[in-house]
Amino acid sequence: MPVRGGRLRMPRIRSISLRNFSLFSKQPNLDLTFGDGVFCLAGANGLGKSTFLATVAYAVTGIVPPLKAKRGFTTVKEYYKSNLKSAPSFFRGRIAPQDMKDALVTVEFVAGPSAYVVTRGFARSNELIGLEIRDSADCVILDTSEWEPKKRHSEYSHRVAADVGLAAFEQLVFLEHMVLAFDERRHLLFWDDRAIEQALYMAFGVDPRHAQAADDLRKEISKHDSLARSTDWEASKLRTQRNSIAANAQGASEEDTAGDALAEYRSLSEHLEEGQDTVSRLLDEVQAKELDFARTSAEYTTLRQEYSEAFSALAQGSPVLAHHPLVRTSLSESRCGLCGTSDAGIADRIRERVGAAECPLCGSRLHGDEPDAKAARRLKQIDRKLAEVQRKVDALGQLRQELRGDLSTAEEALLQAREGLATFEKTYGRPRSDDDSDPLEALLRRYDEQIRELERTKDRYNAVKRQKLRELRPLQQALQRRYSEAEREFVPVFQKLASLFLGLDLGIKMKHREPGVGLILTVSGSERRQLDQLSESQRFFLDIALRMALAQYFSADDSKAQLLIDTPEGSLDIAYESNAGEMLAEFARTGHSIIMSANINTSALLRSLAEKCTSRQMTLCRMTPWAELSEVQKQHERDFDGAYGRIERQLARRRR
Amino acid sequence: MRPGVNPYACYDTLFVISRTQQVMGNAMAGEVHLLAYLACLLSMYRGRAASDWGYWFIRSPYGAPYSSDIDRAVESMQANGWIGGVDRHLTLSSAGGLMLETLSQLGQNGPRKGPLDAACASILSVPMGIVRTAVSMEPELRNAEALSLDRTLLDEPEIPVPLHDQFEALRRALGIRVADLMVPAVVWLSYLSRVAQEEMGMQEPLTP
Repeated sequence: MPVRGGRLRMPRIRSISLRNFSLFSKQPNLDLTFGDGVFCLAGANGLGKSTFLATVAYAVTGIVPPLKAKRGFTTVKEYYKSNLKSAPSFFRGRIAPQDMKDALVTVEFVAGPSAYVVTRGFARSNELIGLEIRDSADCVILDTSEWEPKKRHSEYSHRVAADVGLAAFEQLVFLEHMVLAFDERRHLLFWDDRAIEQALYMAFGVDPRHAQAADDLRKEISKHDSLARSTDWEASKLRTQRNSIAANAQGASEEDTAGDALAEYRSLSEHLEEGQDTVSRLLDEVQAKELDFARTSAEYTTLRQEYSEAFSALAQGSPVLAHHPLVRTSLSESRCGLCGTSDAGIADRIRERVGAAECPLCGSRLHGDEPDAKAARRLKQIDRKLAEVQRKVDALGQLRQELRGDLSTAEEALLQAREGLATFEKTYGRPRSDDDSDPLEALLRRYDEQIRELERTKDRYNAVKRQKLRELRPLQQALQRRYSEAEREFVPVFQKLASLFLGLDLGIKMKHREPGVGLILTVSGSERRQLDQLSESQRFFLDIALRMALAQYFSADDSKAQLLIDTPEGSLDIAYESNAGEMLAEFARTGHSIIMSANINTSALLRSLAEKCTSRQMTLCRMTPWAELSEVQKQHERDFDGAYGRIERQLARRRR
Repeated sequence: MRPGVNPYACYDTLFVISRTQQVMGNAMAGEVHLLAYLACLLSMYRGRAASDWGYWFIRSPYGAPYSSDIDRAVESMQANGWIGGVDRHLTLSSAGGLMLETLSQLGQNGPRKGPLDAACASILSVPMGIVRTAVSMEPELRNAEALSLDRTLLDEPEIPVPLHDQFEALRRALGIRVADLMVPAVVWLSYLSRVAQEEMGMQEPLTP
């Protein structure tokens, strides 16, 4: 199915060269080329498959995907910044110290209209040893041979982001690491709200700058929320200390005789205290009304249930006998539907009894078409009660709203009072009175000032947070609109891939989760139902299906995406391994490509992939000759050869 | 009558059959689902939440919109004799008429009358076939149909953004408060039907 809407031209790696890469002790200098379809590096445990894929990602982005992130994904910028220095320590254990200085990786890739040749060392992420950029006519368009390594990297990051169609290099790093690479971190995009939100902005957003703006706003919202909470905690700590001191204090304050400034100061302070009292009172009232509202809502829900039951009772008590299936059969066939007796008079006798509102079976007196009066009365009673409670719920809801409004106004007034006092103190300094001669009171006052200052600060943080949330909302709505337009093209791509793997009717839906948006999985139309039945490995492949669908969707028609997948098979059984192979082959069939690694023992996945792709769309690369095998592995080298051979024969089979 | 039958679905079913049989002699079961769903959408246009409607609709490959509560209501009320008719052509019996009268007096059904009235009255201006096509172009159902997804319709706490946009456009065109819901109902159905025709290449594209 052709997928429209794509506008990104992500790097498509054509080749990679390693020099002095000591981890691959038998072949530290490697040159590999990647054609269309699937490149599969198959090897034994501990040979460095994951390191190879991490090096490919590093070559393009200068960053190694962090194995143990200190915390979850927060923002695109933060991800880049916090991992900028991770590469040297990652490679230090994999490249021998004596080789570190000379070890290099060179990657050749195409991004949009340009072809890049990028050479990096492993000691610094933001430096390039070599950079060559050619246009579509293969002419060098940028000669950087005389440049400093940092300048090269800086130029590279700007140019490649622009060629790809993104607003910033950090976004490219994010897409390469979090969407296009399923690596040994086993990070699941589906279940990471913050990361999936950014991926959606980049995949479905109108403008990559919107993704950047949303990322910045989310960062600001989190930051101010956290600041407000910690400031509040500080204030509460101080208040406890202050109250504890005040509890021991004695004596009343003396009359103010310090003149106008002091009088104004006191007036402002009183104004502030009044404001604090009002806010505190309103907070209590709001809480009380919330409780009333919840209680009344519960009563309403119970009454709704009673209403349903009363309705059923009314309906059950009013059978119209002429329509009863037994009666209808007896009337139409002149044959008793119960005992089977045939008699011409049966129909007349039944009609007579029904007409007289009597049960033809037991002779009991019944009411006619009129609804059962008792049951109807009960239903009306509950209906009246429901209306009464509904009015109460509405009134309480209204009152709650009004109180919230009053509270908001009072908080605003309190903020102004605090600012008024702060301005006064800034202009005149804090007036001194005789009270200051009392060291205890002076101490309490200092506490009060600090608490007020913290509260002002907290209010400021909350105001900024609210403002940022307001700014974020239009971006989210724009994204929701875009997704809604794109859903009919994007979702079927995911459905096809996921159902090839799991054979279930899977779908995805966009969900708004305050303060962000995300995706949820649906199974046979139900949100996340049955998901617990999926194994961890099955989840991996669903996540890979999502990444593939996103990659297919966001790639421009003239540019195909490339996924990096590290030993995804986990503990799948043979059937699912085979389906997983078909899913990967389907992605390759649409012109996109995969660089993957696999354990050579997982032949069901590889055999299925090889069968679907054939050697025209798949290259198998033997990794066992790259490094020294362990003693155990050496003893079974023939088994490895046998497994490689089976897959290679599978690849060759269709070719013939 | 089965215990647990949804009283709101019963009321809506009786209401829709009563109104439809005045115009067309009887009502097909699918028309009851369709007009009740349209009424639910119109109630949302009036600002009520879909969850207030009292029961849900789904998109299924066997027909959409579909509500199992309405299905149960029809089945129960047929057994009970409130609904008569042959095959799937439904009519109201005299007992059903009396029950509708009783239920109409209940406050619980008060807010349903306006949207149900407007949905049923729309078939006076717009043929039933067009109503069906138009409702299928409503954004929520349209997306579910396009994706062939069996999903519950309008099950989010917030009104879906594309539907919200259409309602806003209607409000802008007709003014915030038009007393009779039938006006926005007919205008909206005409718009949706035109979109359907445009997609089938029978109309020039609408100018925004």
